[in-house]
Amino acid sequence: MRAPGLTGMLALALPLAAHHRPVAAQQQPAARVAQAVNADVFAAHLTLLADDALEGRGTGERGGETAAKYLAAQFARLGLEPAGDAGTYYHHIPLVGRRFTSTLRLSADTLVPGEDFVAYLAGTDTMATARGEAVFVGYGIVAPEQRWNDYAGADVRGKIVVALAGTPADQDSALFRDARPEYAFRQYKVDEAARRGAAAALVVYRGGVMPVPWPSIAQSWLGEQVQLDPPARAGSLLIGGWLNEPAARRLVEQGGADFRTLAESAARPGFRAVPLRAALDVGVAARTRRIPAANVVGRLPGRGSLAGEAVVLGAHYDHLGIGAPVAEDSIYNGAVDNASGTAGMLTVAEAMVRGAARPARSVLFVGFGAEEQGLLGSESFVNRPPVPLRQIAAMVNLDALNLTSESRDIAALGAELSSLGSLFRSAAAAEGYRLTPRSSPVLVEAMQQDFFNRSDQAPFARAGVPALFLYAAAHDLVGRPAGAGKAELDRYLERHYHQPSDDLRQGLDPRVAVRQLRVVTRTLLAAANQRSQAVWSANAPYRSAGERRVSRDQ
Amino acid sequence: MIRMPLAALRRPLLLVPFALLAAGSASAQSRQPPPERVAREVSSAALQAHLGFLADDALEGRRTGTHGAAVAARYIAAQFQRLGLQPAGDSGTYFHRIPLVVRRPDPILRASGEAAGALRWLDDYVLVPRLADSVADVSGEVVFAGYGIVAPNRGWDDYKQTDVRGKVVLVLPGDPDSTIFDRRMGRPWSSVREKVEVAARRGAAGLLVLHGAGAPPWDAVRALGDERLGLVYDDGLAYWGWIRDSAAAPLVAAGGRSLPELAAAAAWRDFTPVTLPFRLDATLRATVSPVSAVNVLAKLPGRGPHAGESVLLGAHYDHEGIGPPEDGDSIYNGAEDNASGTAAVLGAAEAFARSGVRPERTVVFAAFVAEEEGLLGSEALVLAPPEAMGRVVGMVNGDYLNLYGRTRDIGTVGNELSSLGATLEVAARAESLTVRVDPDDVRRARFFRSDNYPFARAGIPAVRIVNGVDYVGRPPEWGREQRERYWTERYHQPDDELAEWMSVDGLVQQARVAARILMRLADAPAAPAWAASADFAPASPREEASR
Repeated sequence: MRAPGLTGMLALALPLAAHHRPVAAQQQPAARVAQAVNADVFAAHLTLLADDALEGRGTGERGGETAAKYLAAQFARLGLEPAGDAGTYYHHIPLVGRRFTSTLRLSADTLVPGEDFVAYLAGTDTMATARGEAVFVGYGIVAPEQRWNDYAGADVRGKIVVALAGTPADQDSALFRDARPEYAFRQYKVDEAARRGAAAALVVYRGGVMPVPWPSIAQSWLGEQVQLDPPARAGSLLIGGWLNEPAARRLVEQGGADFRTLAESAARPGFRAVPLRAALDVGVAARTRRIPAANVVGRLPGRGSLAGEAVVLGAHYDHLGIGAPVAEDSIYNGAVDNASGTAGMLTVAEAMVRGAARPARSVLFVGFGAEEQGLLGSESFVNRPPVPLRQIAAMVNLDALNLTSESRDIAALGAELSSLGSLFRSAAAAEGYRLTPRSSPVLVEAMQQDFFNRSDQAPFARAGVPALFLYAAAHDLVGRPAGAGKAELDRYLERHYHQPSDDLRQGLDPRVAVRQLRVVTRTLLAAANQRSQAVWSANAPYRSAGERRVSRDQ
Repeated sequence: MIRMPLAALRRPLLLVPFALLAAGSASAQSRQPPPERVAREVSSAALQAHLGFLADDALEGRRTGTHGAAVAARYIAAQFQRLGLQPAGDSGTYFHRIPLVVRRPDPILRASGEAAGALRWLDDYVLVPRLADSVADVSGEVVFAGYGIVAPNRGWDDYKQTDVRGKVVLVLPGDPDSTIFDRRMGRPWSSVREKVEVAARRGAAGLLVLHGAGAPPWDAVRALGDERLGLVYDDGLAYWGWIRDSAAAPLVAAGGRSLPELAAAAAWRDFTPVTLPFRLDATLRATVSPVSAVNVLAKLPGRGPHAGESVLLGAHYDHEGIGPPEDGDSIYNGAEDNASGTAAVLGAAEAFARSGVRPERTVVFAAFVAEEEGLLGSEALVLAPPEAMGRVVGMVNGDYLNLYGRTRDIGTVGNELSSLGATLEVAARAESLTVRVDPDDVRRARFFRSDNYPFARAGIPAVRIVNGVDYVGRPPEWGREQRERYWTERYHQPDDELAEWMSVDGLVQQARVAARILMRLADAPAAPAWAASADFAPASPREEASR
């Protein structure tokens, strides 16, 4: 079904490339395809996606739908095969919006939602309650590779567990070095409690540990929660939530213990869970609505025996939509975040078609939805992949491109974690880039802010798919003083990130994207063409997930 | 909401075979004649994709001034930009902003003279302001100018040498002689539209049409007084409208004349305008608010001595928006009217960009707005063309193109009017299509009901491509049945949307023909010319002198 159309299109592109560039036909295929990356194409997609008419591409909103339709139209125009559901380009994201109302009583003391706590339903129920004695489980972490088990010897089945936010490293920097970052996350702690059979899990918010102030956390939980339905990791646990530190203090003291002492004990190896001798009574009700959302997936088919496998180039097309006005502007255009990455993904797709790429593995071009709600589009993709995960050889994600100035260096987050790193290194060198030094301020920032876990490559990595995240910041900008790259990054994060001013008026130069996209194109082609799939490095935290992925029968 | 996508996007993509290109080398390709090179680059996948997007519910029917039209305009601009085509709109952009407003008139009209008195709005008269102002006083002597027709090639001139500058012209509806002004054929000289144009050209301040025999029902006329979209004009004509015979008769009688007497005189070629013994003083009050609307324009610049001239392929991208629901569907998608034509323009633009041709004349690709409001986008374009567009010397229009499948013929209207007809003939033959002028299209006056008409009025040779009737693999009458079903069941209905049975194969044929015409026009030694007999042929020196 696919062959005649697509080969026709490819055959068309070759003489054209030759027409414009007489030497093209003699070039290496990867160079030829990379040369086909076109600045006009990128600028056109960027301009449209960041236009006010797209209304900030909000998930479940008109602008988000229009953006999805646009991606599908572009895939269709390029002759990519539909690789979503039922022969379409659309891969459904089972998204729901839930609003929770909750009560929490500590013996006779009624706590105030939003001030003392927030709570939610972890599963699909519309209502749940839990009551009984609370158990303090330290940081709520079970990490064999760190020789750490906060649940050792404890039976928390049916109980309410209370865990500290963060990791023992917050108190003792010798502990949990190079640990998986997610041990610090609320989601992990709630999931771990669920695996242990707890009825509810409350994570203690501590101002010194958490970068986000309590009112922001509380506010976000009092509003609608957008999530996958059913949650990816539902267990027997019904209720999750945050407990503000003062309320946690009251809870502990009511049981006759001292909060500070208890917290300190949690950072000592050999910690054991402690019953708090105080009863909690928590109830949560939810109202749920379905939110329409989709990933958009197009396939450039591979050739030969590896055609059933795929490499993924992804970029989320959603942004924050229309929101609270800032300086009389209520459209959160998301020009950098992530019209730039989406335009980049489309531009690479066009280059592969026009440049007559003939990859061995198929290339899946994916516009992810619902990223801003917590990587839900990519998570849903990984939960229900159009191609079995074991056949997805690699994933490259674009979320914000450098559109400020040409740079001498380039980086991909995750490069040190898998064999994709060396492919990226060669691709960068072929386009005249150095790799950004690991010690440069921009990469230190990436580590501190944990960027690798904050975009759509993360669900792929956790599922074991070797993944790279092209980094939007460079260290050394051409014609700019040393350190300008970090200054640009800071400027973007402070002034424009998730603001209506992340639009086309912030002074973006689309031409700067071209070389970056050539690196991406080369990396993808190399990953698509190498004989065996990319593999995680020995010390990569995703290595065991990677082994599970390839051994899984799917 | 993300709906399941179009059937069109779901089906395997049908691409035009590129066998020749695949086999040939670059040099072989460039040895082919330019029209051939361009036509071969028309991609069926691209047409299908553009059509699918533009006709999607997400575009909400693309009504002028709405969100859906804004998305469509930006989509079109993005395609032009992607192809590396140059902007041909205002100040380096792809957009040509038209002076569109929505007006709700609330005027005062008084007659002064022997039978002085106020006239009753909506009962005695209706007028449509043409200015940007929300209040303007316009008063002038009243001149009766017969039928208000100046048609050089029919040997008719109601104005003669009369100077009507700053005056209010009163005219009869229709025409004096249907054998001279055959309403089923040729330029609609007897239409109000044409009378307005003549009055404006003559410098009149106002035009009122007498509402007597031959006029549309008063209720229809009265509806002109509702809030409506219109352009802002700066040609001096402040308003046009209708006045009832019953209101005009006493004013005329005060000077010792009668309407029947004036009408009788106007039936003859030697009629000369009559100054009437009263003035009309209008206070044009209206609420006026601007409406955002743009034509979208791109060009492939020509080279050489003719580069300042351009040939234009156009189609309107607007439609009717969201309206009264039919069977629960309130989105008037306008798939055939006119996502089809817009897709063809985009497909042809892509073909030019990819082919690497270097035309002599500049080639302009245009998507018009506000067609459904009365061809306003194309009218605004010819009235105030952006400099970047060059001087347009020929125009091809696509409106309601073929989504029914491959044909053996291609339809047209207006081909007899200019040399474009012969160019179309050659282009069609190269695609093995015969050119057909269907009597039904002539009867429906389809040349005068789309964006080619304002171009023609501005003196620019123009032709419209329409659907053939002879479909490959279908019974002989099938094509006409499809059209009839379109006119009776889908035209300006929510059902004008993409359906599973439709195909872009015929649209590909039409886009290829259009691309060939454009390429030929661009490289021809001479610019297109009107036929000597055409109603749009340039005015004779005598008529020029009489202005």
